[in-house]
Amino acid sequence: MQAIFKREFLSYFRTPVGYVAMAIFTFISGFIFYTQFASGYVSISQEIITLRALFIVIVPIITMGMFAEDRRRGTEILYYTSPIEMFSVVAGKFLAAMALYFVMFINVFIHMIVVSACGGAVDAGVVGSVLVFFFLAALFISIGLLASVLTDNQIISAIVAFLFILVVQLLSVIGNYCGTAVSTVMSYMGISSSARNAANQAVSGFIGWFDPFTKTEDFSIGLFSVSALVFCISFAIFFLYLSFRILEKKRWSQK
Amino acid sequence: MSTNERKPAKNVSKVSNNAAANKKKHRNERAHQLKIFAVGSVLILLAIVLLANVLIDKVLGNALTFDFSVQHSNAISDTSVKFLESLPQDTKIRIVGLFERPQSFYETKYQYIVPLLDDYAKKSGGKVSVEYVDVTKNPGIIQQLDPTDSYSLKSLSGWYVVSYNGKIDLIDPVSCYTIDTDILNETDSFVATGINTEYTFTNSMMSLVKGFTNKAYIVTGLKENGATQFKRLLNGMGIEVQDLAAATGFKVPEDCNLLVLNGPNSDITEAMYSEIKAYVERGGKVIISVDYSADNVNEAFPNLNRLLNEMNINIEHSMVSENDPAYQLNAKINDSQGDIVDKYSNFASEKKMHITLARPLSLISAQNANYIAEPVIVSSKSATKSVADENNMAKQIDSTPGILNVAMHTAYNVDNPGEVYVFGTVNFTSDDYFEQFTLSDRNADFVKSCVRSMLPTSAQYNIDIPVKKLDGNRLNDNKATTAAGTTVMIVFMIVLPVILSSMAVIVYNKRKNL
Repeated sequence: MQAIFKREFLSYFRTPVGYVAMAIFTFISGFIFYTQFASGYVSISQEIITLRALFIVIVPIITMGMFAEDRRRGTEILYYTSPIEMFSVVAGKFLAAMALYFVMFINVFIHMIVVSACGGAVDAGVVGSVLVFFFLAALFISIGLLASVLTDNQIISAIVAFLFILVVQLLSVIGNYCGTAVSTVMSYMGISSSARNAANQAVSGFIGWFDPFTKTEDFSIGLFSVSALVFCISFAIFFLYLSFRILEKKRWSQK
Repeated sequence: MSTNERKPAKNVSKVSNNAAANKKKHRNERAHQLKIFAVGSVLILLAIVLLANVLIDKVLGNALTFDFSVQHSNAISDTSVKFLESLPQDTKIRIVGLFERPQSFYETKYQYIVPLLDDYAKKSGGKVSVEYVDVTKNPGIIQQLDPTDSYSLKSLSGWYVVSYNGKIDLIDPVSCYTIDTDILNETDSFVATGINTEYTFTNSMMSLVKGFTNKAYIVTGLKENGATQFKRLLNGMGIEVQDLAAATGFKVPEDCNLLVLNGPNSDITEAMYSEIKAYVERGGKVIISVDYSADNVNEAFPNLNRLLNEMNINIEHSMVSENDPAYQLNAKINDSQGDIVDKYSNFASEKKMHITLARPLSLISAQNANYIAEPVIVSSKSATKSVADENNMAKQIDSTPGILNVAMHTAYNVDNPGEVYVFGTVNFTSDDYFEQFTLSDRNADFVKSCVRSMLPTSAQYNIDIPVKKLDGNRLNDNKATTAAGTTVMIVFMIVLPVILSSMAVIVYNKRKNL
């Protein structure tokens, strides 16, 4: 796993991918930070919350080539024929992407130092926001990695990851729409308004329950919820395992 | 080759075909088993993940949530915990948010309310329940909380209702915050400086549980504006409020502890004059607020003045024009600030009150020795008196600048004194003012103190919970200078991204031919 991690992490800097991702992240985080700094009020939590919206752009960029690139080069066969655990390959690549995220995040750590030096607040809410940022990064990288496993083409992999993350980001909105749709259908069937409202709330609540952004929002005000962290990490593990199983299937496939 | 020789070869081929078929069959079985294992293991893991999350979220969610904020802004203090513990075990206080529970409340007015209310429910041992019901989707909740519809809950979507044994108290989320009044005055925008949520809800519960000990009557029928907000302010202090019509045969009820004349636009009747006079003489407490607005520029309030003159106060038929720019708000002469006189300086945390369209109040020259009247809020030294001309423009009637009284207090000089607070502006009682500036405004703070000073029993229901200051995100002005801001922009938005982009181009050019 260590070798895979090292190879993958360094590969981000042997291709433009890592630099492009870091340049985008640096510019946007810098813009958010500067806007706040100019107003005289800086909330690092707010900056990190805003940066979470960047997952949809950054994650597909850094995960699109994880397996698709190996397949294009034909080096994928090495994973299948070498006496290594397939899960180590998945975990190594996953950790390499996380490490790249950490390198990108150094920017925000520098912002914190600047804020501290200028008499601003770096409190528990900031610590919570940072913690949640990496847990969410783990979740989304595992989704991006799965997208890369599913397809041979980097562009398709990026699009699949993008759509997948987009859906996750819009889960609350989708939940509300679905709830309203169910309620509307029930009204055509002549069902009472209280039952319709209950169904509306149940559907939107059920779909909204899967929204990781809503679950982790409280961290930025210093409220640490173990259940939100468990949610992110458990689903990250699930997506990693799913990727591993798909690769294992390919390894033992007769075709 | 003979046929005999060929036969074993055919047999060998047959055997080999069988073996291949067996092998293939075996492989297929193995592949099938692997497939079942793969799909099964994924499904089992998914089930475990879902189950574990539901369990942790629904069952242990609250227990596994910790408030690490600097001031414990999301957790109730020991004071509230002790109050809840002191309540009988069968106490059932219901807090209902008249809206759907926000899934996302970060950076909204509910940010420091929703988690705190969850903490009430968590630490109350079942005595406090918190629920969120959208009144538009479930109108039945109004019938449950306010069967007589006396609070118009339907129009209060977004508010909280605290309910106990059929009594309710209404809480506007905005009143859970203290507001930077300097910024409000300068820019007309609300910037929260502190969190008052715990104070507001704990005292609301306290008032409901302990019951109302005082009763206030608000006089209606004098073309006045609404007093809904003022009623809520009084309710929040544990005072029951009822309307009292200014009809013929006006009588102050026996159970009246406080009588309020909120911005009348027409004069009181002869009967009211006699009733209120007698009420004050037997120890009654009164709050009177008037102003000089388009609705009453022609009203001199002769009967009201006759009443107040006997208490040494006169309401003048003119308007306070504040000429000192330091006291003016938005550079207007009729919207300004007034100083609280020293004796009353502890009535509010701020020293200046907001006054608008105020009538000057004065001490009358022929003093009634039974009453002691004194100023409470005054203008700057540069104020003058104006009246509205035919075009409703302010016309100065007295060019001599001086201090004008905007609020006064008078007390009957006996053991159980009747007391009257007279405000020359309606900024201390009117809906118009409190709907704009909320019940956590400085004027609300002041008028509450006036009420407390007259009805001291209500003070015992006031649990003192300090305001929790919002974490200071403000940078030090000396360090966060314009030059520092420019440096931040150049470094983080130009230098670093350009370096990284250049690196990307260099790497791409180096490797494009590989």
